Amino acid sequence: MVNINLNVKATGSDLDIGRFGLGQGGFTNNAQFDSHIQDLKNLNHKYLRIFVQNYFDVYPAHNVYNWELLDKMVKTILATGAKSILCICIKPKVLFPKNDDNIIHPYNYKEWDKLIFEMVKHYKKMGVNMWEVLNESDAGEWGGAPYHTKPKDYAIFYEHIARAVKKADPKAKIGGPAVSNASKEGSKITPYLLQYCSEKNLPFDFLTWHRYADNPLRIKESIVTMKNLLKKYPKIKCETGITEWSASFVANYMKYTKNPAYMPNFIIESIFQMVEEGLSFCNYYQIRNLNFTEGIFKEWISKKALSTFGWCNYCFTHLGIFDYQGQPRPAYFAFKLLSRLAGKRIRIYDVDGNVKVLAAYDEDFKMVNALIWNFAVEKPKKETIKLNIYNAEKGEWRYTRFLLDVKTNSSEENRRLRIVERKFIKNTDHFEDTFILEPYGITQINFKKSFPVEV
Amino acid sequence: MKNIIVNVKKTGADLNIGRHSIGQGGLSGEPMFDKQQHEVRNLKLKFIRLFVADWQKVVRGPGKFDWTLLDKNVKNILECGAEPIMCICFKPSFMYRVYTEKVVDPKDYGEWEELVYQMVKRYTPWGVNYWEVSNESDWGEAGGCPNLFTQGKYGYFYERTAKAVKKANPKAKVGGPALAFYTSKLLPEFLQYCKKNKVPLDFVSWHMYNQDPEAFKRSIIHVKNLLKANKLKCETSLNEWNLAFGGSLMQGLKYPEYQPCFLIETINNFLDTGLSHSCYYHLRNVNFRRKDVKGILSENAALETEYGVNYLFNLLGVFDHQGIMRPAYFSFKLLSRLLGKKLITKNPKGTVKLLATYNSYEDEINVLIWNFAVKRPKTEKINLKITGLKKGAYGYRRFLLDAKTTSNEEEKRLKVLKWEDTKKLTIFKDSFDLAPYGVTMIHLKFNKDNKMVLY
Repeated sequence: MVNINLNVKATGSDLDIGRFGLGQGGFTNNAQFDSHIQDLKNLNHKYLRIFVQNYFDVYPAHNVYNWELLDKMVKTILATGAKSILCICIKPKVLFPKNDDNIIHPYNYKEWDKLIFEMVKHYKKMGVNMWEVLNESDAGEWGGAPYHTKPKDYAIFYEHIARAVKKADPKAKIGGPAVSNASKEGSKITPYLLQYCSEKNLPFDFLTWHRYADNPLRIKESIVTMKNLLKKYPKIKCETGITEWSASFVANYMKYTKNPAYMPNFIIESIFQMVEEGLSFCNYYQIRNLNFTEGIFKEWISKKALSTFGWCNYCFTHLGIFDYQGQPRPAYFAFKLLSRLAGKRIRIYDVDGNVKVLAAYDEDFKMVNALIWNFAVEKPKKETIKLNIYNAEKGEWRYTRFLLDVKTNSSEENRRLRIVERKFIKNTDHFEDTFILEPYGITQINFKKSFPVEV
Repeated sequence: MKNIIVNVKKTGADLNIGRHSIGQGGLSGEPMFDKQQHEVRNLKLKFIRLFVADWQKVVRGPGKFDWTLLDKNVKNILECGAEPIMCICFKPSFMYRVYTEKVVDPKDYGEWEELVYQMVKRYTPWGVNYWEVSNESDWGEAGGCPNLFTQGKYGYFYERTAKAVKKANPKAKVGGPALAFYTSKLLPEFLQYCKKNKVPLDFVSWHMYNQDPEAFKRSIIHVKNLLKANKLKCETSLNEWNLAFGGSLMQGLKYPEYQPCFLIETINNFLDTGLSHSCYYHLRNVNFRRKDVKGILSENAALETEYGVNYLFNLLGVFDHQGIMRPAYFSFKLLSRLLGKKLITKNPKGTVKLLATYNSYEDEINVLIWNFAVKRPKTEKINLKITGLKKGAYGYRRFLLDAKTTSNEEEKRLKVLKWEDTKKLTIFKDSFDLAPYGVTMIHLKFNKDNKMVLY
C-alpha cells in the first residue's frame, strides 16, 4: 500500500511544466510537422528546438539571404504556440567550399558574422530569441550536423556567433555546446567553453547537452555533473537545457517494443528528475519520425557518414511522439498528461518505492492535477494506492481519474486516456480514493471545484 | 423477430440527407479541420456552421477590416464541399461603451451595420448565403460568445443586423437566435417582434444537448407551434446538438456504440418532424486556451470554456482532440450514402428503425437499419425483404458499423458481413441479428447489363 497525501494548500512555486518541450530532428526542409499543429498546441509547450541546416538554403550566394524555407518552419512552430530554439548548424557552400566536417572556420569570418547578424535580425521580428551554437560537434557529422570541433575551435566559433547574435538582438539568448557526450563533463568542449567565456566575459545564456539512456537516473546525473561544472565558473549565470534526450533507442529497442509502457514512463520519470534537479528546460527528441532521404544532404555530409544515415529509417521507431506515418504514439499522451500540470507545484512527501507523484494546483481553475506512476528500470511490482486529497476549499468538487492505456491499438483519446472514475462530491474539503497501479501504470487525477452548470 | 419490407416502387421526395450536417465550435481563429478536409468531404455535408468570432481578428479598428483568418476558415469549408452557415458572434470592443455580455447594443448601430454589410458583401461571391445572428443569445458567455440578451433586446439587434445582411445580399438567408434553451422566453418574444415589425426571418435556430432523441423531437414541435401561432413561415434549424456530453460522459465512454446509434436515431427524428436542417456539434475537438480570448470573454467564462472544452468534449468531435476519427464519423458516412428519394417504409414495432432511399442516378437502394432505445434494447432478429425490384442482376452488400473495434481502418469500422451477386432477381431477402445499438447498412445495386460485376 502506497499512501499519497496531497495537501492542496502545500503549494510551492509555479511548476512551469511547458518548459519541458520537444525538438525535431534535421531531416528535411519541409515544415516536417505542419500537419500536427493542433496536436502540438494541445501540449502547451514553451519551446520547440529545430536544426537550422543547409537544406534551408539561407545563404545561397555571397550577400544573398533566402529565408523562405526557414520562415515556413519557424511559422509552423509559432502556430503551435511555442517559441523556437534555433540550433545553428549551417555550413553555406560559399563560405565552406570543401565538404569536410573537420573544417570549422569559414574562410571569411566577416561575411559569416554578417550572415548570423542578418538571420537573428530577421527572426527577431518573428519572436525568436534563443540561439544554440552547433549540434553534437563532439561527434561531428555522425550527430547529424557537419561540424566536428576541437574545444578551442568551438570556443572561437561560438564567440563569433555570440557577438553577432547580441549585436542583432541584445535581448536574445545564446548558448551551447549541445554535446552528445555529457557523461564526463560534456567531453572536453564544455569546460573549455565555460572557461573561455568566463575569461573573456562573453555572453553565455544557456548551457546545453544531450542524453540518451535507459535509466532516467543517468539523465539526473548529467544535470548534477553540469551544475557542478558550472559552479567552477561563478561569473557564468546561465540556464541549463538538455536539448536532445530520450531512451537509448538502439540498445534497448526490443525492450521498448515488448513493453510499450516503458517509454511513456521513462519520459515522465525523466522530466520528474529534471524538475527535482532544477533543470531550466529540455527538448525531448523528437516530434515526428521521418524517413531519411540522402539527396538533400549530399552536398555537405560525407559519403561515408551518409551511407549509415539510413539507420534512422529502422531505429528511430521509439523516438517520435508521432511515428513515421504521423500517428500519435503513447509518448504523445504522456506529454499531454504532463501538460495538464498547470499552476503551482504541490510538494508531496513520504512516498517511497517506485511510485512517484507530480502534482500542481491551478488557482485560476481551483483544480488539482496529480500524475502518479509506477516506474523502475527493472519491472516494478503492482501497488495499491491510497490517495488522500485534503485542505481543499470547502464546496462541490468533481473528481476524475484517468488511466494511460498504452496497450490499446487505438489512438483515440477516449481509449488512450481512459476515464476510469468520475465522481461529484458535495460540501467537502477532502477526498479519498484507493486504486491499483500496475507495473508501469500511469494515472492522472483531476480534482476540480465544480462550475455551477454542467450540460 | 422484426419483419422489414422495403418496396422500391414506393418513393417519396428527395431525402436530401446532406442538410443534416455538422458544425465547428468557435475554439480557434485558425481553421481547425483543414487537415481532415478529405475525410469531411467524404460526408457530403451541405452545410458547416462556423463561428464568426473575435479571435478571427476581422475588425482591427474603426473601418479597418482584416479578412485573412476568416477567409482561411471559409475557404476551408468550401473546400470540404459544404456551404458555411456564418454565425455572427464578434463584438468589437471599440463599438461598445461598456464591454460586458449584458451590454448588447453597439453605441453606433450605423457602424455595426457597415461592418456586417462589408462582410456579407465580401462573402456573397464566394457562395456564402446563410447568416445567423448571435450564438446562444439566451446564455451569453457560458455558450462561448459575449452577448447575453435580456428581455426585449434581441429583436432590435437582430433587425439591424438582418437589415445589413439583406442590403448586401437580398437573396441571403438570415436567422437566429441560436438559443441554448428552446423554451427560453426570448423565442416567442422574438417571433412576435419579427411578425409585428415585418423583419425578415429565413430560419429560426436553437441548440440542444440531451441523451434522449425524443427530446429533440419535442423541441422541434415546440418551435413549429410557436411559428404557427405567429403565422410565420421559415426554415427550422437545430444547429448545435449532441449528447449531454458532461452529464452522460461516463455512459458514452462505457458504451461507445451508444452515440453512433443515437445520432442516427436523432436525425431520423429530424426527418420525421420536418426539421429543415441541422448541425451536429461538432467536427473536431481542439484544445482551448483562455489566453487566446483575453479581452473577449470574461475571465470566468474563459476558464469555464477552457475546462469544458479540454476535459469534457470527449464525446463531441467526430474527430477527437488529436484529429483521430471517432465512431460517430462513420455514422455520418453511412448517412451520407442515403442519396436519392426516400422510400416510404414502415418501422416495425419496438426499437428497430430504418431509413431507405432509391438513388436513380446510380440505380441503387440503400437501407440503414438500427436498434436504439435510451435504455439498452435487446438483440433483434431482422427479416428483410426488398420488393418491387426491376428484374435483373444485383450486387448485395451488408455492412455493420463496429463502434467497439480499436481500429479506424474503414474495413474494420464498416465491416462487410455479406457480399452477394445475384441474377434475375425481383425480390431480395436477408435475415440477420441486430445487437443493442447495432447499426447496419444494406446496399443493393442494379446491374443494367444483366451481367455479374467482374471487377
